Amino acid sequence: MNILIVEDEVNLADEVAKYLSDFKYKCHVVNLYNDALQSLNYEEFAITLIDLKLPDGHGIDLIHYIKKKKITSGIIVLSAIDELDMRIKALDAGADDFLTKPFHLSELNARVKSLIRRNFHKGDNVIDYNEIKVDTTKLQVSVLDQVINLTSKEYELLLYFISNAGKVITKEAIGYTVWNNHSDMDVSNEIIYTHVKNLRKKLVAAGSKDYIQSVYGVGYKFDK
Amino acid sequence: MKLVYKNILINAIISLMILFVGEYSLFYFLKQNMEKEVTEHLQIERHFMMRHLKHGVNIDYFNYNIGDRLSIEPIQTLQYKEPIMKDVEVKEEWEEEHFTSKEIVFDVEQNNKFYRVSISKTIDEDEGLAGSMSAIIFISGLCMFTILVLINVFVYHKLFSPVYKLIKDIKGFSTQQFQKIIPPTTSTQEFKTLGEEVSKMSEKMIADYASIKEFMENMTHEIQTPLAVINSKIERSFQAKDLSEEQAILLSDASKAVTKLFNINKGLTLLCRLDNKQYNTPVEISVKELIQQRLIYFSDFSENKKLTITETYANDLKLFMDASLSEILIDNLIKNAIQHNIQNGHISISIKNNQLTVANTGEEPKVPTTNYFDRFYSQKPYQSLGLGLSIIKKIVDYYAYSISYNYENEHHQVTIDFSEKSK
Repeated sequence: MNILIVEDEVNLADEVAKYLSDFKYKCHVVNLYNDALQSLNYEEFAITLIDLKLPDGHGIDLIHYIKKKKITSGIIVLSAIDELDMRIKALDAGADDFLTKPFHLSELNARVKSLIRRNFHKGDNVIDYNEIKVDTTKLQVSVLDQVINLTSKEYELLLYFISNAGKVITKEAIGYTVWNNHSDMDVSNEIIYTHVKNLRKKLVAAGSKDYIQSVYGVGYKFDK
Repeated sequence: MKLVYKNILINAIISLMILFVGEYSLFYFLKQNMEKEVTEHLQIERHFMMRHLKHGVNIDYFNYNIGDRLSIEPIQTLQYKEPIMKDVEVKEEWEEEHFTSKEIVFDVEQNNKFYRVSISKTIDEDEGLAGSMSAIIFISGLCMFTILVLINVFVYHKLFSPVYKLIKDIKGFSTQQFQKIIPPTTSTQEFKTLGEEVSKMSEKMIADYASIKEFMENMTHEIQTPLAVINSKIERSFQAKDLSEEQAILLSDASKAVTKLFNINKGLTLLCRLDNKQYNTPVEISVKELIQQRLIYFSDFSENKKLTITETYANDLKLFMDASLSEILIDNLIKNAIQHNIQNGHISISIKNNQLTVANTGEEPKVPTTNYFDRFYSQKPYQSLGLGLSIIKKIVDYYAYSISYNYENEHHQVTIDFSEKSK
């Protein structure tokens, strides 16, 4: 699947491209508004990631262009401007999601996947990960076809882990993404630990393999 | 005390002092002079009498012709050859009061008979004159003084009106309104200079404030992309196959620091935006409902510390506030109460009338709590940001509510008064 990354900060665009490439996405990076227009005309992209402030144009205009030309591509805005107005403007123009800089690559990846699920697997919103099945419509998780009861945070955690399977995810990223920016509270590490422990217990008890590994105490990895 | 009244007071004290001293000395000298005159007069009367006696005028002749009162008594021997002067109190039958009189007493001889003559003259009538003179002077002095005060008040108000206008302008001056102080029109050189200097100063303050604001905005904005770059680099470094434990811990520390920067930047951006008054879409908020919602949201954190939370709502509180600001306000209050709490501690939240009080157990404050709401102030600077409280304060200020903090019964207590009257 193709992803177009429109971001003038080369360093950031490259990092995003490299992280997403590990999940079998073909990433194409452009740094200018006009280059983005060209790319969109030549190729089809499942997702377009758009930075709002570009040296030769504004991201919102790019969204308008995509919508006007009826280009089928999911749009995620990456913006340094964290304002409600801008968010509304972008979503009104037709963006599907809005992510404020600075962000975690793992969170961006999770949002990309979620959007692809919404846009390309209509009617089939079930993620299969070996014996684990996550139904994102019913918000239901089953192991070996047996439904297990997860709290909302455990569900979010599992989805986040599966989306970033094989990657090390730091506790900071988990706190920032799952606990919504309240990771500045000094208890967040313990809370993450408790929730991951409970999720792990529930999965294993239902017969799943123990996928969640602790990485040197600094983060976790969901892996085979 | 106003300058004009201070000036009047000083003037009053000094002029009244001069008036009294002058009045007293005038009265004193007049009295002295009059006494002297009466004494001289009595001496003259004596000489007159002596001369007439020498020429053989019968002593009885004088009975009604000399002094105010005269007494001639026969005596045995001559005692007062030289006259003596004395003060006597006289009371006339038909008068109520006593009169002070001067009396000259001397003995005389006529036809080998001795007589004691005492002539007296009242000085009170003359004192009355001195009294009325002083009174006239006193009254005119007082009139002059009153007029002086009135002129002072009038002239000062007129003269100082540019200064009063300037003071009013300075009081109402705010760098955030970007309006410099206009110097008042006046022909007084000093006030003209003062006005111009204050105006220049206000202009400079506005320019400084604008540049600081611009700097803050740019900084918080421009720092976001580099932070995203750093964070992505850290995240990707974590994915290296041959990552050692030491490297992982180094990266984790860097990741923690970057996350802290994320949060600081978010807080500062919010404060900047509050400074810019960029929140102006008020909606009706039920504080009670909002608190209940947010408590559920933070239950992970409160349960982790095994906190008991009691909620007492005497009534609900409806506010017209920006939705996101009201959430940030309540979030920060709850977060603060959880963050600075102890294991198995307690949080009590109550609404009564227009007041919301959030109290929590926690360590006793070791430092004075006057700067409790200052930006970045925190008892444990490396564990929490301390930005939360200044955000609370800023939002409270933004809507002109009032906030207070105290430490009571081992509880930290933050009370916000939402009443209109504090506006």
